[in-house]
Amino acid sequence: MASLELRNIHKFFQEQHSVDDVNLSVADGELLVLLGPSGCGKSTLMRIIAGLETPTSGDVLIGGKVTTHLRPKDRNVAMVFQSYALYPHLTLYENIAFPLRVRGVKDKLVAEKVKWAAQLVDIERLLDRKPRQTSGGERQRTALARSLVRDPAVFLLDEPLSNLDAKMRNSAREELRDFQKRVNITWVHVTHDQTEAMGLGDRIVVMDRGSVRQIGTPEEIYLRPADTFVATFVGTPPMNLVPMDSHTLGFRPENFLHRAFFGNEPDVLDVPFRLSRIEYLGNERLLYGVTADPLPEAKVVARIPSTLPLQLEEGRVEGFGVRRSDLHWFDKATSRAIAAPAGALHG
Amino acid sequence: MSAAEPNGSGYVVRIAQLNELSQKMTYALLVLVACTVVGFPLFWMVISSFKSVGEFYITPPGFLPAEWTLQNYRALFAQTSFGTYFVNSLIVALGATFLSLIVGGLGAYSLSRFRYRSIAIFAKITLLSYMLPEVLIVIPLYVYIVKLGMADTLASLVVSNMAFTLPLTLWYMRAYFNAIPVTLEESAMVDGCTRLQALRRVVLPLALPGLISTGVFAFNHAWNEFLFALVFTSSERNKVLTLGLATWIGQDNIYSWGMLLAAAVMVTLPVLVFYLLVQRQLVVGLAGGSTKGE
Amino acid sequence: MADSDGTSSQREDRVLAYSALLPSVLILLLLVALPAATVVNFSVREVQLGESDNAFVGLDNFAWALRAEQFWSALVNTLIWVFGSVGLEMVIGLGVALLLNRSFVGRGVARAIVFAPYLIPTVVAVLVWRYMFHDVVGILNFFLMKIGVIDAPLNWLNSPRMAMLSVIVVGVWKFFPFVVLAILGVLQSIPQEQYEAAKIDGANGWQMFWRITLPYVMPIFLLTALLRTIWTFHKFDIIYLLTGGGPVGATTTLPVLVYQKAFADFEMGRASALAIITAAILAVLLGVYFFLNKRAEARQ
Repeated sequence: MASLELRNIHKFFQEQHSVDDVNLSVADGELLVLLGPSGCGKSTLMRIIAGLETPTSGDVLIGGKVTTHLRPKDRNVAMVFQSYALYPHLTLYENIAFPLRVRGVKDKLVAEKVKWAAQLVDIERLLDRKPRQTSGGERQRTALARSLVRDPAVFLLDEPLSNLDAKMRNSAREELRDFQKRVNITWVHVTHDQTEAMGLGDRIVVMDRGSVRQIGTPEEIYLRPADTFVATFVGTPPMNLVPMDSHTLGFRPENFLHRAFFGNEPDVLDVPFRLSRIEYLGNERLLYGVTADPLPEAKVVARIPSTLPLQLEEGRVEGFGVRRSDLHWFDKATSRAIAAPAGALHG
Repeated sequence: MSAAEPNGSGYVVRIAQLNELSQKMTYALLVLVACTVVGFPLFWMVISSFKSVGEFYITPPGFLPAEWTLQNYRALFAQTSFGTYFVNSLIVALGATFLSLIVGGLGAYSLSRFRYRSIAIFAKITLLSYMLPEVLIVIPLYVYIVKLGMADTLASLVVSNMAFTLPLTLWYMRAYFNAIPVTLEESAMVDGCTRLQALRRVVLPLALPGLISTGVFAFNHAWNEFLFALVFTSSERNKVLTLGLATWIGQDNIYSWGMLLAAAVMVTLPVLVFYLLVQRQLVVGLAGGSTKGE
Repeated sequence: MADSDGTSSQREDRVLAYSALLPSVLILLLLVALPAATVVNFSVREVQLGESDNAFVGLDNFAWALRAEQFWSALVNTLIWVFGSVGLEMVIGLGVALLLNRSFVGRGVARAIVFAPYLIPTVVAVLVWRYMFHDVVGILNFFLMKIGVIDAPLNWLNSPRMAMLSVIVVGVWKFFPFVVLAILGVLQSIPQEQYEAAKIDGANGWQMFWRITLPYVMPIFLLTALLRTIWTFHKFDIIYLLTGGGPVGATTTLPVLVYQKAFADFEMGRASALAIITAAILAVLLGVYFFLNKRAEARQ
């Protein structure tokens, strides 16, 4: 299986810079996630990889070969659309067989391959049905089988889980991951759901308004976000940001605990907290409030496991804190992450 | 509802029921009247076509045929050129429909999928062509047809009917193509098709119901078309049904009413058959199950 | 989707796009654009068939038209024909659509019957009605005399006063189903909840019609009226077949007059001028409609 490479991809469309200087490299067998809000350019980028759109400048290389201006059919990529795009007038068998029939593969070989692909996704007994007689999950698996059947170099998936309801999403995620590992395919996955991205990706590419904000493993993205966008986009509830004089201070809700919890630990920053509301979610509590003097007032959230005892009063300023090692600093102008500035808060 | 006052509440209920009943009856009556008034002429046409020649001139005219007979139909085919007219109408209608579907179907695909500015302009212009009266277009068309030596040919009718069936096809099929998701073609292209192959293998099968209904509308238009036939053709050999029938109407002393009515029934039949066909097609849903939302 | 970058696979798309559309463009150019231009050309000339030189006469043909008594009487007839037919079609169509909106036993059959006049060829409709209008064998006269409405048979098609009425009757009968179809479509899309909420609020049938049904239906109603007006204005065959334009021009509308000028009198130049005037009158009517429409929208 080959790798995928994007070099200096730019795309202008109606005076919008919808993709701004994207450089990426995907290793063989890697599952890469393109993550970002709607309109960030991730779907456009995927269509550029597939060949459904051409970049204004830059190159797409698949398996080391330049494919920037090749037609989709000549690129050996497979794509699963958000709507699955199954052919409604064909049975599931014929849907899966479609890419083979287009290439004139003989019936006997077609039957073999279709059976193999159908087995991999466990829809063998459904092959005679038409798409409208199947469920959403079954259609997704058919789309996967169809993509698999011609041995593509790269798999592209456009928001495949967005139509499933929340409960199904977890199990579907697991299935997808299993599937990818079994067939060991290079896989580019587009989503706006950060839980999905974190759960699936070997590496994540976080995008906003056409440009790449950060590329890294889930741990890197979460623990060392490159800027405030990544910091607040990944993680629920998002990272707390407190704008100071020259920098922005950030800390995650689960690191924001009552002073008492830290006991005698040395490097803990005091963050006075005025509580306004508590949400009990079963396994945890979310505490909403604002930071108080000496820190500037900013809305913050704390996340406390329900197993920890809690006795707080709304409206009162409580002594909360964050370990210094869990603090993040961002430059106010560029919003990019910086090291702890000199003269950082003490006490 | 206490059982202690059965009469009081029962009385109120019964008034309400009567009210509802009388409403329903008025409604049913109205529907019946409407259907009778609207349907009578056709009913009368069919019934009368089975009357023997003598029955037409007796007064008072009988309602049902005293004696059901097929003599009018037999006379129609045996004594007149009705058969020829029928075949000519078929040729013209099928020809115009077939050509419009191919040319218009392709054009509509282009209008739907390719959004270049020049194409959008063309789409708006085709709308204008519907605003022109046929009496306006027929004058220059007649002059050209005579100059080209195509006067009194069926070909002239096939081509000229396209002036109306083609825009009809373009507009209707464009809307139909718009409803077929582009992702299906894109998926086919990623799966290995060129655009043309995607059109043939995926879009066309899905557009079939639309093509059929459009075809029926186009056929209907050409089958019923009169002015062009009146102006462009004249010989018995080339007359279509509308013209043939029209010529007979004025001569109802030569052609018996029975025969005329039989002809009317025969001319109406294909249209009704097609209408029934289209009814069923319109029920079949579009792109059922191709996307997750079903 | 295709965007306008010029690269190899996009070029393929371009070729397909234009070549798929080319036949349609050519044919419409030939059958619509060219004739329209020719008519304009003819209208300013004295056109004789068979002669290659058609003398330029400027606006003479138009001047003739505006002075001809034929033209003005045809215009009046056209207006009577259009507003009479379309008016009746819209009212009857709305009424029947309301009737057919509720489901009842045999609704399918009722619908089929109501739509039938629209489906049959015009020539058949004319034939049937001529049969019914006939002074000797026609059923209408017989029926009306039987129930005592009239004493002597009416001359439906041959008396100047009755002829236009008869023509309108046939026109309405043939085309009102189109209105039913259009309005029924809208009626069936009105959510039932609106009526249910109104019932709870205590509204009666008339109020529900006025406040819920009518506003929903109004846009389609007006659009249908517009379309019917355009088509009725231009209609040739139904009048020509029924009365030939007579008696004594009583039912000669503008399209019929154009035909007569072109193919009975062979004065193509004048006929062309008339045709252009006809199209222009309609354009004016449409202009008025759109202007009023815009004003109504602006007021909202």
